[in-house]
Amino acid sequence: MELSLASISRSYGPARVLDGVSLTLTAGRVVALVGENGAGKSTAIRVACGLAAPDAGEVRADGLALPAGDAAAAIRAGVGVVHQHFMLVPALSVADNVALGAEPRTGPLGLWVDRARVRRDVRALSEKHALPVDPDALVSTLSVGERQRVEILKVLYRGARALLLDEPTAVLSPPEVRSLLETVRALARDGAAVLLVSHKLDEVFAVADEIVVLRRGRVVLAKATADTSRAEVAEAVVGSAHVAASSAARPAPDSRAASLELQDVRADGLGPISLRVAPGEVLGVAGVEGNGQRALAEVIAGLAPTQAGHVHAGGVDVGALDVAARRALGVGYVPEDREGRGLVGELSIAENVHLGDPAVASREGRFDRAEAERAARAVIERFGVRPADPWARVRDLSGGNQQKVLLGRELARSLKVLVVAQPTRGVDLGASADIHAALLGARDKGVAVLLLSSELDELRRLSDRIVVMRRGAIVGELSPSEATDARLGDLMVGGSR
Amino acid sequence: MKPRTRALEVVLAASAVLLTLNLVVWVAGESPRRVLALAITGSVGSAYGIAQTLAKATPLVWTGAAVAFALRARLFNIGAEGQCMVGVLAAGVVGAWLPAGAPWALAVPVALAAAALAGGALGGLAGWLRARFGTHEVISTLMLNGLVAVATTWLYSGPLRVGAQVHTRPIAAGAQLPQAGALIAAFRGSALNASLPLALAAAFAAHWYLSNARGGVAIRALGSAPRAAEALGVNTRGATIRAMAVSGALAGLAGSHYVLGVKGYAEQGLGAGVGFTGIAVALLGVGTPWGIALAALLFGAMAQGGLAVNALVPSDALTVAQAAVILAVAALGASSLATREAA
Repeated sequence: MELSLASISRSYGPARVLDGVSLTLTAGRVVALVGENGAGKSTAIRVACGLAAPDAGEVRADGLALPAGDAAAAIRAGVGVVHQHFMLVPALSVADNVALGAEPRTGPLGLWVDRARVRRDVRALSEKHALPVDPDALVSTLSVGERQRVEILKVLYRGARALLLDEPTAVLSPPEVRSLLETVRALARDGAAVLLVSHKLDEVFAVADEIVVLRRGRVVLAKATADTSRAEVAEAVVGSAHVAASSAARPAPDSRAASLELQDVRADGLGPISLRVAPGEVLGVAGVEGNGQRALAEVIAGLAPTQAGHVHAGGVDVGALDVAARRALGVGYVPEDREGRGLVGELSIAENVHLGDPAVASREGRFDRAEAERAARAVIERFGVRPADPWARVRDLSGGNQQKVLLGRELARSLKVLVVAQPTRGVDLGASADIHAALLGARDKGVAVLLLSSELDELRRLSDRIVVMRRGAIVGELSPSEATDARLGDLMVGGSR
Repeated sequence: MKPRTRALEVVLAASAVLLTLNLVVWVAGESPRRVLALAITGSVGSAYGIAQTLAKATPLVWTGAAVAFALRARLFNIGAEGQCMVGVLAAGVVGAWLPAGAPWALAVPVALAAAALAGGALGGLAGWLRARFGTHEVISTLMLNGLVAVATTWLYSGPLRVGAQVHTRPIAAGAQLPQAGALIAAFRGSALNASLPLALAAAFAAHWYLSNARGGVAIRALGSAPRAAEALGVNTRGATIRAMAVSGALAGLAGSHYVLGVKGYAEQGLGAGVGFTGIAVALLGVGTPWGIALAALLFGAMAQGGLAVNALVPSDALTVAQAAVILAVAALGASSLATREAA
């Protein structure tokens, strides 16, 4: 089928999010949609699948205009979306999730769901498209990668022939990304029209036939992949020649001192684990997600109890200290769970930033709104947060801007130790570069940085050493130059692959 | 959403409420128009009516502010009812305990503090149960309501009974709050007293605290994102207990209206129902002090209007209308939420 957006414009309030955007998806081809956070990618998808009505322009399926803002009509026309955030019911089986809302009926008056048929169909679909997943497994027991397969099966089950994938790789580990990209190619070979939203140029160039770049709601580049280059795309995304953060030559960190030290630490899902990070050193932690990285971060932050061992930060045994006391000592934490763990969505930027001061968060006294505003302005200016309004609600910011606020809040304090998890997940290229530069800046000021990331490039670029975690323990240590995808991958999955 | 559609929805909701009221009155066999006219003149048609409406609104401002405060920590204080009852009891007992000649500058604050402390302790207990054991505050405050009802019944009919009277000894003269009737002749005979300005001041102070005190911002952080609050070093247990204790104290202070403002003693049944109506006031007032004041005024007018029409139809007719208001507001809230989600 052919699905096209024809001169679509859409505003939210005074902000024009899409401005005359046209693009066409054709059967058998993969189009990559690239752009910064807030460039309009998600809105384009929402318009294409009928979740939002355009102010001007129309969505056409095989040349026929679809009714504006009618999601049911879009589904009937064969448009399927895999959203960035999974929409699955954890307590139901894979087959039940796939068929949910579109169950085949049987029995008198169609009173019963034909579950046998659902299972059969789901199994057939999963075999046909090489999306291995057990139809009877409960979704709650599946890994992130498997859940995504269920989401893809869901849209295929509904007969989708135009597939819109909104940042599907953001949550996946490197092996899962590889298999997803293979799936995308296979789907296109089988005749699907695919739109892939991604921040990662590696993936885009590996899989797309055509690349479309959005900037501030306009298409600024649309070319066949073969006719363009990474440099051209990167420049189109940020709007100017983009300078990658580079690790200039600098003296080796003093490995005798340790700002952060864990000795035989055990906790739920962790350990025993020992590690040292020197002042001015970045220790990267690689690993398939769910192998104890979160427990490691939370043990250091004081959010998860240790069962044994010692945690030293800035030379102090922090085992008996609560979160506020550790923060006062100079322990910073940028969790991967930005809105749940990192920021208070209902509060303003200023309130979030000012609460970053442990004395404000944990003691009584006046909440100095003028001081909060000053601190927020400093973060906004340093990181180019948009909107540049200290009293804007954090929930209303895009993911990349939230991440800037979160990192800015932590870096505004005088830190000895900074634990960062997935600092650039779901963040666009320009903001990623800013965040990397900020982390290296903290390192150069003598902060010991523990970087947990599933982005191997990020780990190699920022780390002085890289350790690999598996099942809560460290299974290997590499220098960035030794840390090839293959060697890291071997250590991460624990075998030869 | 466009303002015009919003206005249309409000009009529709108001019509639904009026229709419900008319239907109930019609079923009761009276003329809806006559009853409505009487309800309006009875509540806002005269100076006395207005004063009585304001008096009926006074405890609702207290309990509305109480429920709204806990809601900011995402705690649902169903126990304003019981907290108000212990506030009544404490104000009555301490007011009577004060020496007869105590000056008002001493007696009033002491009696107010007693009401606040009693309600605050009860609310704080529910907060502590939540913080320490994870007991859901809806369950614990509901149970405490029942406990308080039984305990106060026993106290009023047993240990606190004065001879054949079913109420406590009268409070010291100095503990009585100034009467509006003493100040403004037109309000003479009404129950309106200085508890109303105190309640409004408290509602504004509570709102101010949530934005301008560290503990207040921490409570909002806890209510919005408990895991983020924890990671910021907020003492989440302390904030939970504090939010419930302040909420309980505000509800307890509703007792000041009855004991220090109107009756001059405590008795069984004073303040019955205002705790639950306070929930509706808090929801209708969407958490702002002005909203709470207006919502309390609306419910106060309906309560007073209900009394005015009692000769024609049972005042329960107005209770049904109150329920319709709550349903209408809930529906409006849900529709505005739905449009916000879709944006």
